Amino acid sequence: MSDNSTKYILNLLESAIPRQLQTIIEDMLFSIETTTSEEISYEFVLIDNMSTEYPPESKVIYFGKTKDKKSFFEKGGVAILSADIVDSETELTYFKRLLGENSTLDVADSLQTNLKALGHVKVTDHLNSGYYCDSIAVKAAEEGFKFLNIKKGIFNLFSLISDLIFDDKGEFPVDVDFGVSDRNFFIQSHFPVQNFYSDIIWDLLSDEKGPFSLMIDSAKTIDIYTLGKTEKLAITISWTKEESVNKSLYIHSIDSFRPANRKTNLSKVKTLKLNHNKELELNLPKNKKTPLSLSSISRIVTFLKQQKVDLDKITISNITDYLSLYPNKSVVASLGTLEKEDILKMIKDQEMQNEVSSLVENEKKVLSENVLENFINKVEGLNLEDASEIVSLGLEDYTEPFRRVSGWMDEIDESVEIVRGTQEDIGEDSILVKGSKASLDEGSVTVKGEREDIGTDNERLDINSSGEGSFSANELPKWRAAKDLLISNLKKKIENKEITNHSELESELSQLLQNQINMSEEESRALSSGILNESVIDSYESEPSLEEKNIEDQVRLKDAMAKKDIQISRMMKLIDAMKKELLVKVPTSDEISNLKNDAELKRLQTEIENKNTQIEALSKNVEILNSKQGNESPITAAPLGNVEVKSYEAKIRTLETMLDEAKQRSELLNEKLEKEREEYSSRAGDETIQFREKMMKSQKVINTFQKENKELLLEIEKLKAVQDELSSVTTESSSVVDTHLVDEKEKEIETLNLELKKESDQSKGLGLKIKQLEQKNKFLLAQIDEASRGMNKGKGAGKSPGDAKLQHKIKHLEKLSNNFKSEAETAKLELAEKKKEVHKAKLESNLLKSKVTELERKLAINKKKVA
Amino acid sequence: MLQNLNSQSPTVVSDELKPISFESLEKMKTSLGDLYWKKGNGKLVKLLHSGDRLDFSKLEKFQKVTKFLYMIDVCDEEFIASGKRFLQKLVDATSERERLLFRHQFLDFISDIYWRGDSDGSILNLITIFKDVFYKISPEFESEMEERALSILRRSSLYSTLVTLTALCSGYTHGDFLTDVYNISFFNDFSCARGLSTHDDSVHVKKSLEEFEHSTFYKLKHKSLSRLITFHHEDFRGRGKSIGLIFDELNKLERISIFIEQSLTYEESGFNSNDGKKFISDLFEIKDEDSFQLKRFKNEIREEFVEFSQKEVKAS
Repeated sequence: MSDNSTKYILNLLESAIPRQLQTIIEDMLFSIETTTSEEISYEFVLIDNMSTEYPPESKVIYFGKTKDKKSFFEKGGVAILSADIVDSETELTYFKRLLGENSTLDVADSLQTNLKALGHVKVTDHLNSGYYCDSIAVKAAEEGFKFLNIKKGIFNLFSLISDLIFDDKGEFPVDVDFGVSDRNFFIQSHFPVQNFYSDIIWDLLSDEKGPFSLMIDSAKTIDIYTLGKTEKLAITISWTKEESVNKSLYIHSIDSFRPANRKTNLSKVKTLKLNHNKELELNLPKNKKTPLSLSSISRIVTFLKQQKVDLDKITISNITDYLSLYPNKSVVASLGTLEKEDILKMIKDQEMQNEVSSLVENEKKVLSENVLENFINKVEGLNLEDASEIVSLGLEDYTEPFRRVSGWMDEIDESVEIVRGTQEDIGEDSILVKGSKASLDEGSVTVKGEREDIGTDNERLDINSSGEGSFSANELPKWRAAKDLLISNLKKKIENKEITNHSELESELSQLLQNQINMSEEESRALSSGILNESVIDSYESEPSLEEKNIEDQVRLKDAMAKKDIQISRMMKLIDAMKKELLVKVPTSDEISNLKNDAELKRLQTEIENKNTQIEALSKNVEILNSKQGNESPITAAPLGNVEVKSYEAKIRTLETMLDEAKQRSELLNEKLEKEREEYSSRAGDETIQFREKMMKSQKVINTFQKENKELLLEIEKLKAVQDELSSVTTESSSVVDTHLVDEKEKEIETLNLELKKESDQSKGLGLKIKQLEQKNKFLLAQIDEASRGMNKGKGAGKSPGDAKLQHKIKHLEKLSNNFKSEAETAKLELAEKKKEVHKAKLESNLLKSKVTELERKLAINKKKVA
Repeated sequence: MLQNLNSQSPTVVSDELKPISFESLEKMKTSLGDLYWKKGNGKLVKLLHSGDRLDFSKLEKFQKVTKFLYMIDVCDEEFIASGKRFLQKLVDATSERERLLFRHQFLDFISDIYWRGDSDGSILNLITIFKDVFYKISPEFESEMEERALSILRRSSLYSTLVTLTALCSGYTHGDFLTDVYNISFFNDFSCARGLSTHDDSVHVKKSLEEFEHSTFYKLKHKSLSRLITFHHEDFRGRGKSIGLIFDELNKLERISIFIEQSLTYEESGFNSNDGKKFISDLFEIKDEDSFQLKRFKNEIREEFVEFSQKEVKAS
């Protein structure tokens, strides 16, 4: 594919080839041929008629529709396309990939600038694809696509993949990319396959109810290719916002992609993240019926009771028969099994009925806001049918509702123009009604279920039912206008607090009804009390929804718990670390704190003691004061001078007695002193005598010691003298011997040195001789050489008579040289001997020298000793 | 250990020698630090390298000689226990929503150390968590590797951990699948470990696959995952050692495997108690010289992590 040789496309289209396609094909360097030539091998053949004949073994692209897709692909087909692929850039990307344009598994790069939003998920098991199927569909809905088709498509894609994996044709993981490209929502998935060929896919085409066929049904375009080199199967599905019957399907294979230098900018691409951690908050259209409200059920139950039928005989299957006379036929028609079950439960459960009625009674006493709100909503959402239903139940009068209701509206001759106006008001819904009969029917059914909740839907219901003739559409505006007035009046009254309880509210409403609509008093009473009762019941019913909230809360709490778990584990770590730190710190701090506490305690105790003493002191003072007060009062009464004299006299007296006592004490003390003095002197006399004796004794001992000392000193001197003698004797003798020895040795050394000199002189002489001899020898040898040369010359010239002489000379010289040699050798030997001797002598002299130094050292020591 | 982390600052860590009882050793499957035996003369003899398999039967003989062995503990056992709990919950979960929730919790839990680097922690913590949860290869494999190629085994346990973690982060969530991814990642260089080829030998990839298939050490539930062995030496530009695949042809998991293989060196190095700090964010740090596609690949992983660590400013 990468070679640059011309590639050919055979165009066998019966209609003209779209211009965009032609330019694309030409841009990709294809040459478009229109006639078949056997010499050219065509890479692709374009056809738009199945019966067109084309060269075998070429890849066929078919524009159009066919039922028998399988046989087309088996005969070399690679794509069945719709002509509208030229309208979408994304579709053209697939087309170019089919023709061989380089691509990639990265959607961001393969779709490039067309990409608007992108998300990724990975599917790793059969049982986790469902979650992603739904989540991706949600994202598609959020992006404004119809989620149902997309959900079906993804579901069937995952089923297809599961089938292939179960058959051992492929394996997990499935890498899934999804997003918005151009005006398409797409999902690309790829997963590993083994020994996979396109025929496996072709076979799946024949199974019309299989996931592959269903996938084709739900999608706009499907592109499937096997990637040879890394053995992967890539399946891409795309959808448009509008459903299209023009579908495209590619089934082909690609060998490998080529390296490319890409720089796709993703900054403008929106990231699609699945909401793993949030509750899905998406307002998907609600197609399910809202269950029948408690008030409607109780309405039916009261009706059945009023009918006085045998309640035990009522079953799910025959309940509709019993309700044939029920004023609101649409409610009966919409009853499902669940609702019927609820009604039966209510009928059979007396307690529940009692509960409802008692509730109404209780609530009537107090007007709660909740009830009021419900009441106004009820009146707001009230339609004629409902009103008539409530009235007939209240009055137990089941005459034709139409007749009665028409009585409420006396001005039926409203202009047709108003009717048209209301239809316009209804807007889109009215268009829907016009659309087709089928959808109209559907609409009426769904609307009936919801009629109590949404006002506009009620009107739509009325339009539908108007065809049946139960009510005239002309009555509508009148009723609505009257109702609006009613509500505004009611609201005003409530705001002004004119209404404080149920009966007031009831009568107010009936009054208004009578005024606004020509309703009889009975009818209005019945209607207003009926509405009120129901609003009470409804307000009661809304309470159980708390449980649902609880469930939501639980889920949220669970998530929060899990998060808390992490936090807790982190905290635990921290705490542990802190504990460790504390453990190190605790003992010291404990001691300190204990000490502190002790100190504090002591301080407090002392304080307490102080306080106690203070208190005591104070109480004493108080006592003293009291006593003083008691004493003082008589004193102050007596004359002042007298009192002073008396106190002085008393003082003097006491002083005198004190003096006497002091004198006596001093006398006693003197006596004691004298006694002690005597004792001391006697004791001291004794002690001095004893002391002297002791002194004498010790003096004697000292004297004897001194004597001994002197004797010892004498002895020491003697010993010293002896020592000196001895030492002098020894030193003298040893030094004499040594000096003798030294002299001898020195002499020896001298002689040896002399000998040495002689010897060395001799050896020198001998050396000279030897040198002389050697020179002589050399000279002689040179002469011999010359002679031998001459001899050789002579030989060459012939033998001469001088030869004999010469030879004789030579012999003589040889002898001489031999003699010299032997002499020289003997001289050499002599010299060697002499050298040896010299060496010996040297050694000896060294030895002696060392001995001499040793002796000298000894001498020095001895001299020191002597000194 | 990481090619691009060679410049990592050698911050001083006070990894101290602590006595460890035989009872706690008996519970350990992996040595949470370097294990030593203190001889009578006070000399230390290294018995196990941090992260090595702990075969208690081999340690029992020391029990007769000493009451305690000594360990330079680099791991946080509580962290490991919590991490294992989250991951085990994920593996056991039956609904995808639960898996995504536990995935979120787990990644949130580890991002503190390994992404933001707010606290210290060893990469060995992560290795241990993943090994305890996912390792299912028969014990003969480990004994053989310990005997023949301990360094390859050590590298493989880090490689497997990082591949599995990144796969989980990229959205591959099923327990069985992740288990297969983790265990197959040990066999990339199996032929080298058996001495049948060398890394530079381009046939080692093929031989490793053959050796894996012949051995009965691990049975893959997802057989195509053995392609991770075949592809592990590709490079994203088609210049790989074996097939010459390019980025465009590979799925995310294959890209992860190749990327991690390229990022880890063969040099041996021990663990310390803060070598995990910012490990993952450094691994996926976008560099100027990276190709456009590699930048985008890294950024996708970064965005996943950034989502879990709200403190981080979003990568551009």
